[in-house]
Amino acid sequence: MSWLQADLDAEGRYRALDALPVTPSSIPSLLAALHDESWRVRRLAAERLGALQPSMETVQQLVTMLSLRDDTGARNAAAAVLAQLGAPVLPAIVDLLAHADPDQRKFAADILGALKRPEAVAPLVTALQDGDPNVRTAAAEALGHVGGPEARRALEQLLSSRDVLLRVCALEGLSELRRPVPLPALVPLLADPLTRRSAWRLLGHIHHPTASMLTVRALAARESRDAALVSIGASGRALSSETEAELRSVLRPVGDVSGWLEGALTSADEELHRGALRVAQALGEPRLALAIARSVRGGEDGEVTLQTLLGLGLDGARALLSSIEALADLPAEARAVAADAIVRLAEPSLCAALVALLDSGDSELAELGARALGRTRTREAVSPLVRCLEDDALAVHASRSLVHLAQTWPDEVRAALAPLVSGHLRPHAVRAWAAIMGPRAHDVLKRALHDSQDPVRAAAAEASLFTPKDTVQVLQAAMMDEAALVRRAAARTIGRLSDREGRLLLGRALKDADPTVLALASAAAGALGQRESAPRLEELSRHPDPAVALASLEGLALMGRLSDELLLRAAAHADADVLKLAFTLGADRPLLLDKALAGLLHPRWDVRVAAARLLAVSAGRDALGPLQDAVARETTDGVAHELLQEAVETLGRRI
Amino acid sequence: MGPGDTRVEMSAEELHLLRDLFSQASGFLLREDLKFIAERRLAPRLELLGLRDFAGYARYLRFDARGPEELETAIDLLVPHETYFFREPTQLHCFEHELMPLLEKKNERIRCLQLWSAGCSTGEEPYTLSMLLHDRKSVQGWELDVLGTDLSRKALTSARKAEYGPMALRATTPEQKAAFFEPLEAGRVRVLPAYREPVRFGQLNLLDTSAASLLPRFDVIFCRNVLIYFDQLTRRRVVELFFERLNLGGYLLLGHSENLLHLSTRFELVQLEGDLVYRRPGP
Repeated sequence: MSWLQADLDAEGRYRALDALPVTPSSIPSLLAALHDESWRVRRLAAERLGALQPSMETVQQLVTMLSLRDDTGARNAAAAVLAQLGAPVLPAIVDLLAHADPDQRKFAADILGALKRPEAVAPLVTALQDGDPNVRTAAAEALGHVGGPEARRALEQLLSSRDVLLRVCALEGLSELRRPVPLPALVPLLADPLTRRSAWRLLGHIHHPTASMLTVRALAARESRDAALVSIGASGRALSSETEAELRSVLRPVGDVSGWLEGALTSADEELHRGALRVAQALGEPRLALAIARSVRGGEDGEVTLQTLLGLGLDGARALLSSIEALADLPAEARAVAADAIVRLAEPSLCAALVALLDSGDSELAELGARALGRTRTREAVSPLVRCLEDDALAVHASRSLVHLAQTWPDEVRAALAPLVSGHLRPHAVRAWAAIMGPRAHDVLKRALHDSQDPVRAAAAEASLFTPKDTVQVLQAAMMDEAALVRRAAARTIGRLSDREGRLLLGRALKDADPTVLALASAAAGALGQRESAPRLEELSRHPDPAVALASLEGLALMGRLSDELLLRAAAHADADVLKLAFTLGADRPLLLDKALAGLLHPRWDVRVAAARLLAVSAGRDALGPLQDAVARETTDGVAHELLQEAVETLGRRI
Repeated sequence: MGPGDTRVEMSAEELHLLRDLFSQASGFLLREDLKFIAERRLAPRLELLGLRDFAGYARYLRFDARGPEELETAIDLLVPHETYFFREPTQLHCFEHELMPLLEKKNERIRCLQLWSAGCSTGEEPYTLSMLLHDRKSVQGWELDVLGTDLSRKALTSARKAEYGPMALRATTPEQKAAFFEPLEAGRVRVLPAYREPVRFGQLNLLDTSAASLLPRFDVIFCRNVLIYFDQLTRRRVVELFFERLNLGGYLLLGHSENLLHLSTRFELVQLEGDLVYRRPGP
């Protein structure tokens, strides 16, 4: 079928294209789809073509498409496909460097840069002499992408070019190749409007006192201030204490530095934003705390933002907590990073502000308050935290915080908790009491073990770890409990006992009728390395419940008792997660190779990836083709595609 | 050093595993750009459960006896619950002054009005609707029913208590505050019984068709800023559910930045003076 039906809208065409099989028979439709008016359709077609290893005829059709001046979308999509196809397209693209049309020569240089093949260096060096400036700069940029000694030499020679743009490309290329950029070549470019953006960015990559001095001086002048931020942001490093001191002295006489930095923090330019964070940290201006939090983006930047907030210290935390409304109004990412900073900076003087969070009515802020109060090490935090034990959502955090506080205020925490364990018992109060009182919690634990509420008896089982003399007895009683919840708590706790104590209890736990208890008991046997339990774990590895089978297989693996036969049986289990575990545990043995080859077609992406990883470390050259096919089939899931590609590369290196 | 000082990173693979679990359970789409928030919000859960990494957390969610409960907690932590009374006043104004006269005419014989706040979080929206309609003369003596549903039990517990802090009142005027709430300690308030009376709450996974089939038919469904957290397939299913649960001629009101483009062609788009709303075709 063709998806090019006039009556389909863009979404319909996308879905129709998506439904096409990923086989060579679809290539004509995919090529036609590169002309589609919807960029999503074009992108999908380009991805599919890139995964299909098209014939030379198709490559030629793609090259021809680069000449379609009136169809920019198709031109760019064709270039994107060619850039994915690797070595086979190299001759055609090198030929294109000699085309009469400079646009096509530029496309050729761009594609060669994306292909990153060393064979492209010589033709690209020749293209540096091209009559068209766009082709020359594209060739210089491409050399930076390709790398290698020849490309490096060519770029170094370009530093003396009369063409200022070529000099910038050379500097950018050398920077990309992690070669030191010569400062004398860079300085004249800092003032040139054509080159200053790149030049300042590159200055940040030079770790030399003169480069730092130039950057700091630039902060003093309004017109070069943002450029200096770019330089600082591009350096990828924290400022030295000397540079920070110099920076403070340069910015001291400047009016409204906070306003300027707040503006820079909102910039979409990543390096400018990063530079603003570094300068904000150097200035230590707490008024910027909310603006810093609000400016956060994901990934590595999040860590820099957090460090900047932490660098503001206690005053920064106070500024963040100064208005609950402002804190609550922060976007989700900003709230998350602000919460992180507040928890880490928590200390006695923040206690009142943190207690106010508990009453804010905002569940996320209340949780933050409960977590942070434990770190204030202040007596005033005890009572509000004890109050939180009444709230199911906050109790878990309050209980941990109270245990933390008890290190500093043991008597006060004990006195506040005592009424909660003298009457009607609550699970979190029992846990906190046992963690704080240790062996002296004996009476409360005993009472909890006979409580009418299942969660309280379960809490007693878990808390028995803190009363070592009672542990075995409490867990024995808990293993006899009629409620699976209580037996699960006991089974979970067994894994944390000593080998001798654990052995006493495991026999009963591994015979439990409830699969959820069996799974936890199996995990405990593995954690304790209880070899006596191995025969029972072997039986349980065949259990139809996947949780039991998984825990017992892992337990056996930890004991070094996972036989080939068990592994083969696990690979035949009805549950996909057990199959996946078999691939993971059996990666060092060739017996699952056939299963893994079949696993490449499994409906679940994570099983396909586990199968590919097994093949990557155990299979021979024969598996390369099937693995590459699996990568080619993985057209809609970017993460799975990448993980399968990693397996191909691992196998490629190994064979 | 203390708890939470070391960060457990979430790999792309782990994010993907969690995305699958959340999506199957609730339709919630854990997008890649949410990794930053997911790492931070779920890190304390890993610490509490004694898990080393997010792959272990995914496994716990799938196989531990407490997995379903934890899955609910995790989704609860990741889906924003931010809401407040009298949010999006322009739309509320349109509802009150443009839609209500139409509905009053349409339902004048049965003298009954059914509203659904889908994804009501901590209850501010259904109570706001109750406040808007309670003293409306033209519907005095009518049977008014406002249903608030959400996936989060925690949010619903809070909604039933009807007690709120200052953040929930950020768009509430002093007059509204005096008229609809009774004051509590520390700047907190409680919705007055008269406005709580027509509102009921229920836990509902919008993907659960068997549970949704128990719902009555509504005159208006409010689903504001909820669809944005779903994947495309879930959005379609949910919008289909809304269509089925609306009376003929009933209205669907989405959030300010949401629309039904690529989701459904079954609704009519109605241009009001101050807003665009969707209508199930019918009398």
